[in-house]
Order: sequence, then C-alpha cells, then structure tokens
Amino acid sequence: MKIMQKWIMAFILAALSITCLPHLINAEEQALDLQAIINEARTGSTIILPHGIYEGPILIEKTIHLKPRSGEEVAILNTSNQPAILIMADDVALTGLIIKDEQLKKQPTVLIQGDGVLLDQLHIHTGSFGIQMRKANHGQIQNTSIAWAGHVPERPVKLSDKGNGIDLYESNDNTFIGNTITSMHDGIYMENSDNNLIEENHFELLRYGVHCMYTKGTVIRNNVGNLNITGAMIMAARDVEVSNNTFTKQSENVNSQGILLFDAHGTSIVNNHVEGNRVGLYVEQSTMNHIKGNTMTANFIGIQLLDAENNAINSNQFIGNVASAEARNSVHNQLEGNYWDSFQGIDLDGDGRSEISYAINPFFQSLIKAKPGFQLFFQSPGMVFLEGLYQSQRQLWSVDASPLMEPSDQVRFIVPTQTLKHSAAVGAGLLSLAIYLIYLGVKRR
Amino acid sequence: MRMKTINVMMLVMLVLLLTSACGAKEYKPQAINEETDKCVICNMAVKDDPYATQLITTDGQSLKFDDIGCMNEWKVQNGTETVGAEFVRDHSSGDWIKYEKAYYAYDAAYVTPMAYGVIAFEDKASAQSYIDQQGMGQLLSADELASHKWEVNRDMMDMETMEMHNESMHSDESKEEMEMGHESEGQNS
Repeated sequence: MKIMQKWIMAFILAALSITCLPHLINAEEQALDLQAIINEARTGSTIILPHGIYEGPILIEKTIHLKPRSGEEVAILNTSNQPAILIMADDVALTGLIIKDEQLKKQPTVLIQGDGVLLDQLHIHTGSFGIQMRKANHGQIQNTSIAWAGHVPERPVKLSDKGNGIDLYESNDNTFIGNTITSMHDGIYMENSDNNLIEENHFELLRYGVHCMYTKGTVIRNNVGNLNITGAMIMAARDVEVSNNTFTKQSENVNSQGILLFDAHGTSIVNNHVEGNRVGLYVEQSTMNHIKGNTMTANFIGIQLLDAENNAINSNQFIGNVASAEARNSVHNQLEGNYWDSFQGIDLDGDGRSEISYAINPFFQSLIKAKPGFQLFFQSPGMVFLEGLYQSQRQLWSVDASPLMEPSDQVRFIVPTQTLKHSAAVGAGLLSLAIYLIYLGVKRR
Repeated sequence: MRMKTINVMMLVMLVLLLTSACGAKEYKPQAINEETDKCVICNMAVKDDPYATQLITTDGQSLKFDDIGCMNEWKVQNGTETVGAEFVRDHSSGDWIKYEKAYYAYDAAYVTPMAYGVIAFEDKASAQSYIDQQGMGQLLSADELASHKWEVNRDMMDMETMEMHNESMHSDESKEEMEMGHESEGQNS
C-alpha cells in the first residue's frame, strides 16, 4: 500500500512538472522582452500578457493598454534605479499588474508624465514613492494598493526613507478612487495641484493620509484613515472639501490629529467622523471655513482653534472627548448649535438649545504655548481649577451662543468599546483589593 | 543644626556655580527626533533631512523648523531679541552649520518642504556647484538672505486676487507658473 502511495505521489509530481515547467520557461523567456513587446505594439493597441514575471524598467511612450490574460498573475520586477514603469504618453492604461520595486532609491516605482492615464487594480510594493505624477492631468488611479516594502540595512526605517504613496506636482483634475495605501510616508500628497478628487480610499500607518500643499479645489470624500500621524493635512489650501470621511486612532504620535487645517481658507469640513485621535480637528491660522455636522468622539481634544478667525462651526457633536474644545487667540468665529457633552446648559424655551452659551477657555493653550512642558498637566484637577479662575478678556473667547441640549440620533462609535469594559473590570478589581487592604490595616490597629 | 546650614550654603553655592557656568552660553544644535519634532510654525513633522533648521532661544529652548522659510517666519513673528543661535544643515552632508556662516542657493523651482526654495551649504563652492548642476538658481550669503523676499513657489494670495479679476486669465497664469518646471531632486513633503 505504501509503495502504491509513493508511486502515485511520484506520478503526480511528474505530471505537475511536465505541465508547469514549459509554461514557466515560456514566461521567463518573455520576461526579457516586455519592453520589446511594447515597442512592437501599435499605438492604441491592447496588450494581453500571459502569466509570468516581467523585468523592469519599462518605458511607455505610446498609447497602449497593458493587462494580464484573465485570471492570470502578471508581475513586473524592477531592481534598477529607474522607475519600474515610466509613462510618457497620454491615455495609457495599466490594469491588474503586480509591481515589485523594493529597492531604496529616489526614482518612484511608477512615474506618470502623460495626461489621461488610467491605473486600475495594480498592486505596488515599493521602496520609494509608489506613484508620482508630474504635469499629469485628467488621470485616474483606482482600486490600487500601494505598500512600503523597502528594507534599510542595519537600522530601523525612518520616515524620511519612505516616499509618498501617490505624489502629485502640478497635476490637475485627477481622480483617485478605492485605493488602499499603507505604511508609506504620506498617502496622497498634492503640491501645486488643483481640482483633484480623492474618494473612498483607505489610508493606514502613514505619516499623513491626505496632504494638500498649495492646492485649490481638492475634494476629499468618503475616505477612511486609521493609525496615521494625521488623517488629512490641509495646508496652504483654498476651497477644499473634506466630507464624510472617517479618521480613527490618529493618536500614536505626540503631534497626531484627525484633520488639520493650517493656512486653509474657504474649505468645508462636513459630516466627518473623527474618533479616538489625539486632537480631532486642529485649526490654525485658517479663516472662512465651514465646519459642519462632524462628530468628534473619544479624542483627547475634540477641536482646537489657534489663531483661527471667521470660521463657521455649526451642528457638530463633541462626545466623550477628554476636553471638548480648546482655543487660543481665535476671534470672530461663529459657533452655533453644536453639542458639547461636557457642557450643562439650560433650555428655557424648549427649542432644544441652551440659553447659556458655551465659552472655550484659552488658559491651557496659552500656557503651553509659553511653556510646552505644562502639557503634562492636561486636564489635571489643578489645571482645571486654574482654568476656572481665568476669566480675562472673555469677550474675545470663542463662544457657542446656542449649544444643543442633546446629541442628534446619529451618534455612532467605531472603535470597539471592549477595551473600555476590560479596564472597567480591572479597575473594579483593583478598587476592591484596595478596600480590602485598607480594611486589613484598620483591623490590625 | 549648624551642620545643616553649612550644607544648605554649600548646596546654594553649588547651584550658583552650576548656573553661572551655564551662563557662558554656547548654543548647540539638538539632533532631530522624527518621532516628536514638529515645525513650530507650520505644524509639519520635522524630518531628519538637510532641509531641517533650528533656532535656540536665549533661554535655551530649541525650536525646530522643517524649512528655513518657516524659521524666517518665526523671526518675523517674534523678533530676533530672544534668538541665541540659528542653525541650518549642509545640503550634501547634513551637518549642522551656523546660519550666518552658511551659503544659500535659491530658486523658486527648488523643491523644499514648505516651497520656499532656499537650500543651505557649508561653503560657497558647494552652493555654486549645486546651482550649476541644477542649471538654475542664485547664490546668496547669509547677509544677502536677510533681504530675501521669502516668496513661496506658489503664492495663494496672488492666486485669489487673480481669480477675482478673471477666471480664464487665472488658468493661463497658472499654466505659465507650471512651466517653471520641477526638475530638481529631493523628496517633497
């Protein structure tokens, strides 16, 4: 019986090697000449690649569509210092490719310098930038994953070793939908690039999920960010829309926040869910922004306003934050109809809004600006007491004139509350132990 | 009791000695810690790269910036009375050098973290060779940098006024702006 089994095994192995080997060799042969295939292809043609590993770098200078034969796996392996794929023509499309480009280098894995380029369902493993776009307009990148795969010898990887997932410079009107970017420097970085749409992407373990620098008309909608230093970093930007995004657990770095606005003007921050971050929404030197309908739950600080003026902050909910709001030197902001769970109001006329206003005390932020070390005393009883005593120049504080009495129905928590239950159980245990010890001590006397 | 007072006296003396020793201040740059350092002006994480700069105040606080333009902005906002020392990093080696001893290369198209386009070098020759290599830019000494205009690559305010005048004109202008190119090396952030 055993001999029989061995024979069957041997037969299966032999059959496998006969059927697989020629196929592999075939693919290996083609690995050398993908560039040749492209060079031979006519402009506008679709090239269907059979299963195999193809070697980079690859230069695409004419309009073609590259995709794998259906159901087969096509990988492009690049070990050179050049981009694995450099696209210089317009309307090029790449679909379903795996790109492995793990060497540390300055050149990106994919470099796009043409307009109307479509990248769909790519899997990029990079030791540099994932995709760089330079003067590339009207492009679309969708359903693509980009992950860091570089190794630095003999020391841990630093942030400055990594490149951005998608990096735009002077590239307008592009669309990014349904991509997943992990462990890179910034997820999507835009500089001098306008009217780009960023929708339904997933950002995790990055420095900044989305990072706008000198941009106009960017739309950031329905994205999810988790465990980044900052979810969305909106800097030196105009007319940006940040709506319906979820940013959770941006709390692992001392400078973390869900959404940060710096020198941002005329943006709308609407219906976002910001949970479990160090600071939920950080607004500095920014004016004329509309911050509406957002939910800030379980952050250390819900919203922080620094030198922020003339912003409209309405109908937001601040629930379960250690401090709902902090502000410094922020005047003429119009706050109305927000729900602050740390605030107890009085509703005399039954319209659901408090007749007492909610004022944001600037004491702590002013103090830590002068002496950053005092951050250690965040929300400590002494600090809260001192804050209560500080009342000077009250007319210049940021004030919610009519805070809501109750939260709206839609409040939800995403981060599991299980940990909370755990700590409650442990706390109860410790408490009972303490009581028991005190009891013992008293008894002995 | 006497012994105690002597002890106290000794301690006071020691503290005085120590503080006076510190009084002869020599400002030294701190290393960048990517985990915790953020730019005092623009809030971005300061990377351990040659674009980082540092200002030590007279009371010994080290303020770090991700771009030399942000350090300039701090001086505009806070004045220079409390500035003990300023440091920049040599673009090739990454070594900390004194702000006033460095030479600078500037071009609007150089890519720096906050787009001010000013890069520091240890000596005149290396700054000049960088400019030659890039094929654009101008050489500035620290004194000349004092009268630099500190324009960022793309001025958002100009953009807005332009837009108010004429939308179509604006798009033309921005195209022109694009032609300035982006050939220089370096990672943006």
